[in-house]
Amino acid sequence: MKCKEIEDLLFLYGEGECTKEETALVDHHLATCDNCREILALDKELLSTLQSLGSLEQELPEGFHNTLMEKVHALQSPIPKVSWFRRIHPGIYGAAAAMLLLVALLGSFLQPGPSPATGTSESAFQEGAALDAVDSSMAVMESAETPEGAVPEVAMKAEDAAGGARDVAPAAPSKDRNAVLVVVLLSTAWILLADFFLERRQGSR
Amino acid sequence: MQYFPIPGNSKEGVGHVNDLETMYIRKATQGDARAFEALIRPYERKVYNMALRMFHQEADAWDAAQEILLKAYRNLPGFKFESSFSTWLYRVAANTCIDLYRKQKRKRERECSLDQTMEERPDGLHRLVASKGDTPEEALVRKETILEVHRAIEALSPDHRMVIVLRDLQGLGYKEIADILECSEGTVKSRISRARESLKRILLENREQTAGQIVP
Repeated sequence: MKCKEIEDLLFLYGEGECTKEETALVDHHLATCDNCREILALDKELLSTLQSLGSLEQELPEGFHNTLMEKVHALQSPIPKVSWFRRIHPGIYGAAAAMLLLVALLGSFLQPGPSPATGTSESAFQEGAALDAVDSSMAVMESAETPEGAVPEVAMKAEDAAGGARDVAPAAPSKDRNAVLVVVLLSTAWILLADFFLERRQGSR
Repeated sequence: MQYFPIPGNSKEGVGHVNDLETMYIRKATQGDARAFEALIRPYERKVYNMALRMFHQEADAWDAAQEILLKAYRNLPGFKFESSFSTWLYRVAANTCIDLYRKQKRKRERECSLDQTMEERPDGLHRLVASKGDTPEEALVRKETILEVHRAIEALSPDHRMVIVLRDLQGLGYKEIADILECSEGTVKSRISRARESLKRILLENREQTAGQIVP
């Protein structure tokens, strides 16, 4: 066996942690190798110094225990705390996310396709209502950011669509709808992710 | 008057989740601070010394040990009785020490002057080394050797330092270290071997540097 392979075993050999086979190999090698015997002596010296260092155990400093217990008393219960809102409504975030998804899906089903034949005033009215619903649900989620003027604008566009522009599918409202859908889907994903990480954080505490 | 008997004094001894420890753990999980106090009493000194070996300074060791034990209290509901309480506590200690060590190392690198030596620090190790009943010459050699190794440990990476502390300074078995670090015994053996090799290399380099300073 080469010196390098034996060297890797010398610390374990020095503290008696080698297997029988390894011990036999090292014994055999040491009988003929002065260099490895020297390394073993050095390793044993290091292990002995480490043991001496390990035996120097200090007493606990004065006041350590009392300080710790004051902190423990201040913490009260180690049981992870869940907010009262979450306790009363455990599935509140999931429900909010489901509602948003539902609104988004309804919005996409109610919107008229590219064919002008389906664009009646009734469907335009439903479409406007669906978009209003989407916008109002967004207003709940993003109360600070909801553009107040967006609803009348969409309603106006819906009225235009109902008023006679039946031949051509309106491009601008379609873009608005897509944008609203993207925002709703992103908000849903954000709520689900936030809920997941909050749950994990509370679990790991 | 002792409110709770100390678990370490029971027949099973420290290192097993005995009935007494189980009772303390359950009560402490329900918010009984006195049960927690009785539970950690036998381990407090071990945890403090482990932190001292990782951080080498008493103030840092105090903060680290307090954090470890508080974390143990907060995380006690997560203890599943799959290992001994001491193994679990050491695991909390090892993870906390490594995290704190990395944070403090960055902080120290910014704040401390590079020429601050161990002899200037208010380290309890000096008092302990000097307090042994050797002759003055023996005491000096002994002190120098121990401080030399102590200094070399300080230069190790946090992971290597941790296994040296657990195995060589705290005297834990390979199996227990494997449980604490949640890896195989083989991994622990090879990691300890590499850590000791690093330690040896640092010691030799330091000795060469010292010899170079003495001989002009």
